[in-house]
Amino acid sequence: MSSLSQNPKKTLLFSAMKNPNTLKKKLASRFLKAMKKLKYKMSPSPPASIAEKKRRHRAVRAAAYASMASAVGPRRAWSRALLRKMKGRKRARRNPGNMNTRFGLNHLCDIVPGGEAMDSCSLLNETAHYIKCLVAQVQIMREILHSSSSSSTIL
Amino acid sequence: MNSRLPEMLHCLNSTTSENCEMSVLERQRSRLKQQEQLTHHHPPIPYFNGNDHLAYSGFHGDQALSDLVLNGGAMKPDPGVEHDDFRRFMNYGTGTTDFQMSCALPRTVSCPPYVAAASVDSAAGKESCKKRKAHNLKIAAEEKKMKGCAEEESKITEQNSNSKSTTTTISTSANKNNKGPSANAKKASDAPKTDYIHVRARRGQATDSHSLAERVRREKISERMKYLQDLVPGCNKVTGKAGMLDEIINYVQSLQRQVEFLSMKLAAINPRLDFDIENYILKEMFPACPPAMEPDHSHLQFNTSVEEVSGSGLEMVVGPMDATLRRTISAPITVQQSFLDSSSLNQIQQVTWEDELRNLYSMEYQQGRSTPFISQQITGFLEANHVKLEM
Repeated sequence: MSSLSQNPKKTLLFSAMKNPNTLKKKLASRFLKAMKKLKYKMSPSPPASIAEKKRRHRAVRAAAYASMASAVGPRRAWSRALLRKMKGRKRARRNPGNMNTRFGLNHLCDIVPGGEAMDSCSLLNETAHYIKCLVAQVQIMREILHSSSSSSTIL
Repeated sequence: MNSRLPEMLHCLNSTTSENCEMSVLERQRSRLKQQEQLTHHHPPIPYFNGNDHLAYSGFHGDQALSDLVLNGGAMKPDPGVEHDDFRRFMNYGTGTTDFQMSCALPRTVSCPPYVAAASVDSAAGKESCKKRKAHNLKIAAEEKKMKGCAEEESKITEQNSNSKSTTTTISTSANKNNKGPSANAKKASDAPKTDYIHVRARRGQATDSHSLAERVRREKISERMKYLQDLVPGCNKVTGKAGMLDEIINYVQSLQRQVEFLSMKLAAINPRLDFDIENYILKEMFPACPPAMEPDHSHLQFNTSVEEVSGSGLEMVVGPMDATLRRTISAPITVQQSFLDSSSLNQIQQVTWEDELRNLYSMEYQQGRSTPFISQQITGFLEANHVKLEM
């Protein structure tokens, strides 16, 4: 059981040794910095009201997505669209010409940020990259949560 | 496969066989020998060996216009296509052996081949099929069409290639592979180079530019889909594009929901959290310690201080190490040890949502002993989580 769960870890570590600037590392450092900034803003007590909880939730989620997008940089369409969306600018106009040539991709382009203005080929490309980043982000958040829960049990 | 832009091609397998003069045949055979000497390591050209009948391709005009791309893996060399200048300028063997890439071997032909070919055509064309005759009649018109297409595509290709190598490939991996053929191409062609990429149609396929473009697009899409299939777990079993897309959409959505959920949990825990970021980043810089060493490491750190534990736990090590950590942590609190152990055992393999929820419950349960106020907050929060999850 342990060997099973350690195998991917090994490969991950080896890849990290080979390439010091992995996406996951960038993501983790950015996300932690963002969380640190958030921590200063927040009161030390646990959230009192529902509105406060919601605000915090939104802040953490925004930190997560923003760190994802900024770690990837502007070379990907989805990260650009994500940052644009978060800054609250206008959404990109839907390109009507592409819509009729698409087969089942309508749902996908709603999900992937910036997918409205893409043709199907680049949409699939962006989706692949987006999935990678999401997986890395989820892993990082889980690890933070684990460590925090293990430390908070002592407190 | 990798060749991006549609182009013209040799099409149809024209069936003129009887009319070829022996001189032409012999000339080509001698050239074949020459070529084999040049490229020893390549297998003999498959279509030429047993082929006593020479068939000229229908489109000589396009050959005169531009170069030729062998689209390596997907397409076999078309037995119907044969041309003198074809082999003079390009190293055919490299094209056929390098299956993985689309190598573009520029071949630039000046006008004369077209004229000569046309004359041969007219000689051979009498007994050929109707298609052929029609083609001979329309050759001028088609050449015009092709010129139009070629101009159109040259505009596109100019963005990509700076005419040093005529190969324009979008993917970087293909670029790597292309170095060899492009070097070959430099040797092979001393004539001015052109910027076209060719896609070859198999026999029976449509050859007008629209359907070629569509075919290339479809190939690209299916390539991406294969890549996505590797990324998304459980996507291998699904057949059909629609099912795969559904699976992909589900996966992306579930990941997004996970981010939501985790951020919710982090927001609940955040205030009590001490991020030892410096420590964490330092460790990220030196990840040299092998994973087998991790548990001892964490034990040591746990013994020294709590903050160190948070730092080490942030590393990319989950699973068994976490379990041991949890056990050591739960050691002082003897009352809930069994409960904690069960939860940590659940976490060993892969942490699903339910496990995380249970973990949170256990945490809350523990805190219920020490600070009832906080536990109430968390239970309320958990209920909110449940509601959100079921939605």
